[in-house]
Amino acid sequence: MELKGITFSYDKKQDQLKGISGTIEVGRITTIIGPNGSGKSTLLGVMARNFAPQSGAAVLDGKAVASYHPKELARKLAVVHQQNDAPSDLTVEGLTAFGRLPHRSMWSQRGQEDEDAIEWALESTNLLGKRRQRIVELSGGERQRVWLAMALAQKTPILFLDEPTTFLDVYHQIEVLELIRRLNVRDKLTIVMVLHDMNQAVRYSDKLIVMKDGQAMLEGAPQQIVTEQMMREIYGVEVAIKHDEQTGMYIVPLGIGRG
Amino acid sequence: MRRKQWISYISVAALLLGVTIYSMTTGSIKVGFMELVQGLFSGTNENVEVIRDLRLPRIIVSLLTGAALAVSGVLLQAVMRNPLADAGVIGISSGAGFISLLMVTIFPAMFFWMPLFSFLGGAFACFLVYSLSWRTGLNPMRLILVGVAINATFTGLGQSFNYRGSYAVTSVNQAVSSIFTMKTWSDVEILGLYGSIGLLLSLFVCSWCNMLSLQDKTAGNLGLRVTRARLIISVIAVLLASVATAVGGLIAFVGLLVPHIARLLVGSDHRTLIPFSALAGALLILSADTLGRTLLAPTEIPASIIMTIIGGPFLVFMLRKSGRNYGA
Repeated sequence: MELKGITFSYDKKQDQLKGISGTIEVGRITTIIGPNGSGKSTLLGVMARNFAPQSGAAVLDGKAVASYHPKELARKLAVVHQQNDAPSDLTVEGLTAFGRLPHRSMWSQRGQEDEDAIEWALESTNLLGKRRQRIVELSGGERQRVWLAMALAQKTPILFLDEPTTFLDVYHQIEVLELIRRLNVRDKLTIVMVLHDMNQAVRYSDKLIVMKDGQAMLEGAPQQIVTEQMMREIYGVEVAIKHDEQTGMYIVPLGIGRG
Repeated sequence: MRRKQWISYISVAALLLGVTIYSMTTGSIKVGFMELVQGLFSGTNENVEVIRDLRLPRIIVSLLTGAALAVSGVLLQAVMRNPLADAGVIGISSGAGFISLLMVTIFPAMFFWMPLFSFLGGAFACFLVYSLSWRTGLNPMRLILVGVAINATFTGLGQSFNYRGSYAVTSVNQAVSSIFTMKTWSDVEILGLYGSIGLLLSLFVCSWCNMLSLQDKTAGNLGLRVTRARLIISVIAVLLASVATAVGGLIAFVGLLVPHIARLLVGSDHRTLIPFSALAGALLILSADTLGRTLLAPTEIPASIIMTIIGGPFLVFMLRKSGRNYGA
């Protein structure tokens, strides 16, 4: 996917995105990072066609996402949003089955392909044992995985995740991130996500897009672009960057800079 | 769960059949069921002829009005993502009632076009509610408050007509009350035509309604054109509510009560919820009307009054009993 000079504003007064360009590489995990209000989720929203940009375009397979038929796009690209609502009596399998709607016409019954996709989505997210449970009965971590299962059931080559680890404790954060990595390695999914935690972003991404004030400041492999100077300029935080033999690079915040 | 759904469906269908037969055979003229059936086919029984001309259209109008109002409630709740949305609450019915009253008063010759005026009035009210409560999205609270205000406005306008012309306008008075007494086969034709179209169309939008119960963003990412789906579902809901109002008059609570009970019995999947609500709505209004004309015979209590008396307390009861299910 190519980002070509995307400009977007919610209220037409102040631009939340100011001419963003970049490349999302196929088969990689790309993570958008940046301080609060820098436009990370907005950018993901434009790429997922939730918002229409004022100028520029997110181009997927040579065609702007805005000009796709919605169903056609939903077969290429699935999204897990940060906050979600569902009817209280919906089951895990019931919600996962929603992911098949882009592949079905209005009256068709579930076919074998649909069953296989649902099975695979539940298996990938470790929810086979919970398929008949209602979503309201699940824990926060499980609930996040159900929404992921629904997106997976769409069987798209591209998966977007907006802050998938927010609201989760550290165990479930790592569980979701490991799952995402597995989907990337085993199932060759192209992944774009928004994360807050720099260490998680560094550890689980092939590439970072660093945003500030609606602009993409830096783009590249974590090892190349995450520096003490970058953390100071983007976040205003003094950090020490260390290396661990097992996990590689990690960041230790030292304090808040003078601005 | 599946079992509970089947039991609910069968019970409501059986009750509906029972009440329909009871309603046909009971009243100021009583006939036996076999006598009724024979009379309807032979056309020689005088009592049955009277029932055919007076009671039968009334029963059919009750059934269709109930089904239409209940389904319109389900659709509005889906499209506005709000369990309190109902044609009666947010002003669609009163808009339909007022505009049709206004048009017929100005152009009495166009009485035949009542359903159209009614639809336009309902659509106008619905448009007002949307446009006045929409900012960056639909806020459920603001939507209901705007709806209540619109409803109050149209109700007031309608009443000012009645009040000013209480002696002169009695002939159109039935447009804004809801006495099923004088219903004829021509009412059945209007309601049967537009009501059936609306009910049939509602079955085609089930999966859209299901998708809208997720977030708009999520529905969009699943390939739904959210705005277009909202518009189409709203038009169907307005059609159902306004044709029901045009023929059956203003009846509160059906669109609120029936979908809520239906959700508890058969769940929130619109593929089962919509047909079930249609049956339950028909049952409810027919029961209310039958009760209204037999309870204090020969005096009649309008179905709308019965509905209000049953509806209020029952809604409180349901909400208390199932408090957690309605988290919203």
